[in-house]
Amino acid sequence: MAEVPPAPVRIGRRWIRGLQARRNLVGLAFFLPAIVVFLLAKYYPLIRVAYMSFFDYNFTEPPGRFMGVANYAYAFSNSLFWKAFFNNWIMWALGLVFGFFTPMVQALLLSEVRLGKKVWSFLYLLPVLVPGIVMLLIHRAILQDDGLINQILALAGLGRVGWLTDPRIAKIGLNILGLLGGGLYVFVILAAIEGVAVELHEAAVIDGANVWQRVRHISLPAVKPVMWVLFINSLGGAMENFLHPYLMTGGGPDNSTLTMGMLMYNEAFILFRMGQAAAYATIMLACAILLSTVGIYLRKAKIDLN
Amino acid sequence: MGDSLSGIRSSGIDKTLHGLFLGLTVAWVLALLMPVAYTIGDALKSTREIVGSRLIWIPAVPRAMEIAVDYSDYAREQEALGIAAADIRRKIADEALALQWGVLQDLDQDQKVWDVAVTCFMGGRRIHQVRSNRKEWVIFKYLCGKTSYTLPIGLFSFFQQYPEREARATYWHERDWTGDEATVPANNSALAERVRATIRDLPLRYVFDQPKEPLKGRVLTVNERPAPERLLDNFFIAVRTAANVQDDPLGFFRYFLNSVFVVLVGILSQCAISGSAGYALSRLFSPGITKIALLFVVITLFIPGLVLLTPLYVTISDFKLAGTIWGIIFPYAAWGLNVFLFKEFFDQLPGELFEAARIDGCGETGIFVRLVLPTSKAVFGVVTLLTFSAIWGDFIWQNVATIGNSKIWTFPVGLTYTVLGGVGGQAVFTGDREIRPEIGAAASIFAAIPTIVIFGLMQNSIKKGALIGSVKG
Repeated sequence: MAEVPPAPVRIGRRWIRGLQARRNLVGLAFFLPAIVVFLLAKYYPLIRVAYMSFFDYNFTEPPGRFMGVANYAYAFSNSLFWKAFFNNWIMWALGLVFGFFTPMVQALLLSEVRLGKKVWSFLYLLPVLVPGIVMLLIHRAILQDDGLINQILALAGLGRVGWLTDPRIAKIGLNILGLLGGGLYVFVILAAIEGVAVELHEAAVIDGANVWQRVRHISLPAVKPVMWVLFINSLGGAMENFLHPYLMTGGGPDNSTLTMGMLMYNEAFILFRMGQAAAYATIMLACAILLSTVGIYLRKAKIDLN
Repeated sequence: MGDSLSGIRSSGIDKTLHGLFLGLTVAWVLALLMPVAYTIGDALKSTREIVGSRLIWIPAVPRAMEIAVDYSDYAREQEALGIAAADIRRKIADEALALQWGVLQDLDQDQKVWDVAVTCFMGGRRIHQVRSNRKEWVIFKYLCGKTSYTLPIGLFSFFQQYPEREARATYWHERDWTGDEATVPANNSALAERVRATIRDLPLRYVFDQPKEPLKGRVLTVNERPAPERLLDNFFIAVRTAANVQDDPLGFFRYFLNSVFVVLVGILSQCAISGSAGYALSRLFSPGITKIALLFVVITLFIPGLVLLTPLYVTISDFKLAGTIWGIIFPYAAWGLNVFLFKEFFDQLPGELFEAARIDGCGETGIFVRLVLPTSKAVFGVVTLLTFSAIWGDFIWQNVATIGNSKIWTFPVGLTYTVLGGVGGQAVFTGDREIRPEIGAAASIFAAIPTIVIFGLMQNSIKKGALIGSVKG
């Protein structure tokens, strides 16, 4: 570490080593509560979930009957599991389609706005103040059959759409409000755009480039690394799709918005089949580890590119 | 940084493009804010204004209505049948209640009447008055003579929750009360005339003893006026509805206090445990140990929270914490993310400071308490803020950890199950109470207030927090 100075004399080195040993001990005392908490709240449940997945878990007499891999066999032979599995991916992709590029476009537009830039950026941040669950419930209200969006569609002379009630559309309905964008990502991306040296823009202007050309050839390339990181992050969250369907559609209609998380939750806390739920959770964990590995490789690939 | 691009001069096509970009930005901002703005409007509307075929942006001003009914003829009729005067007055009181309730129910939908009073006259004297408004849906006031009685009854569960029918008579009337002198008010609007005709034919569905019978009294006048003071009623109803679900003297505020407790203990624990762990990683461990300890923390970041939902619940059951408030707090004790935030911050502190303190003979704990803590207010502020917003809005875990004990429902869980319409797409009923969209909207605004207040109070921390990462990176 930087703050350990090089020993000026030979006798000092042993003294410093002794000091470091004592510091390690103090450090252990400082670190011990975190060890206890992480072991109890992270590592133990992690082992527990894998262990439970081999049992027909019984709350009153844990762990109950040993099942071998029957829970996994049931999962993989269950058509509902595969439906949820593919729903997860379809909804991840739809989330990207509707929500991924929106903050980028918003930030690019905002970077070239001359009037009231601070006001607009503040207003983009404003919805962050509303807790996520409340925002979801607001979205649920405006997506309902007689909600705001259908009312506006009716005003425009278009038919009503069953955003949350039509099995063919519900997946889109859950993700379409990503088009509204806003939030912290706009700021992160805007910071990347404004991080570009202003001389580059000035040089472009002297060469006769207009706003569109500057956005296309200077700002957009500056945004790419940030978007890459955001993409990798979304990959990590792909398995965590739960709150949207849980609050807005309950997995319906006709299981069209059922995700892995919903399936696991229903199994655990509606049907109280903890062993089966643990098997689903373990499969999700395996997927998440795979995705994280892919993410790390993608990150490395990106670093190599630069 | 900041407005670096603003200095670049623009001309010709650039001006058009800048205008276009501004227009698009404004349109997008408006679209983004529209759901929230519409929800605020919804909180001031009646059900009909929200679900009706017309799109309404500005809520109408609610109206108040006073109805005068004459029972002289009815009383004479009953007297001829040989019924005691006190019993007649009781019947009239029953009917006044039914009429008042029926009008409130029927007119609220069409006319947005949120305040209804029914006054009964007999032989030119005022003998009885029933008064209630939407705000006090669950508490009806009976003005009988000089005394006003309050009956604690829920509107939608009126019949089920009030079993003591006999006790009712004692509430109804003071036996020796024969009314006071009063003049009947005059009609004041065209609407009142129309409503008057409707009321005469309104079947009184809610009378205890005579269901679906027409009004026996004669409607004298119907007075109607705007009542802007009723505009915020939905908020009061949201609070009352939430409070009425469980028999708790704290009612609605129980959820709030539960959340505050969970968040406070969570923040304290995060600051203590994550803070000291971050310090150990940054300043105390030798590089080799730091590497191992870092790995220990990093792995926890990669575990999806959803995977741990089931085993965490089983774990808190093992420790006999399921269904207690400590069970909710259990996984909030420390987070890897906060450990890293603390480590990043402590890494930035100048090393010379520590060397100087060590040379002066200060112990490692002394350095932490006397030197590090006073200079680290910024990072503690940021961690507080992040922890607050993460725990306050964490519905998934709190929903599971409170299974089987509605006494420990936290703010988001309690509101979701009582007034926000429950989970899933179609659940619009909780218990015997119908959930109305305007009440849900009011509750949503309630739920957003604490976050807005905290963010407003801690603006400085947000700005400093943005610097923690940037100085190093």
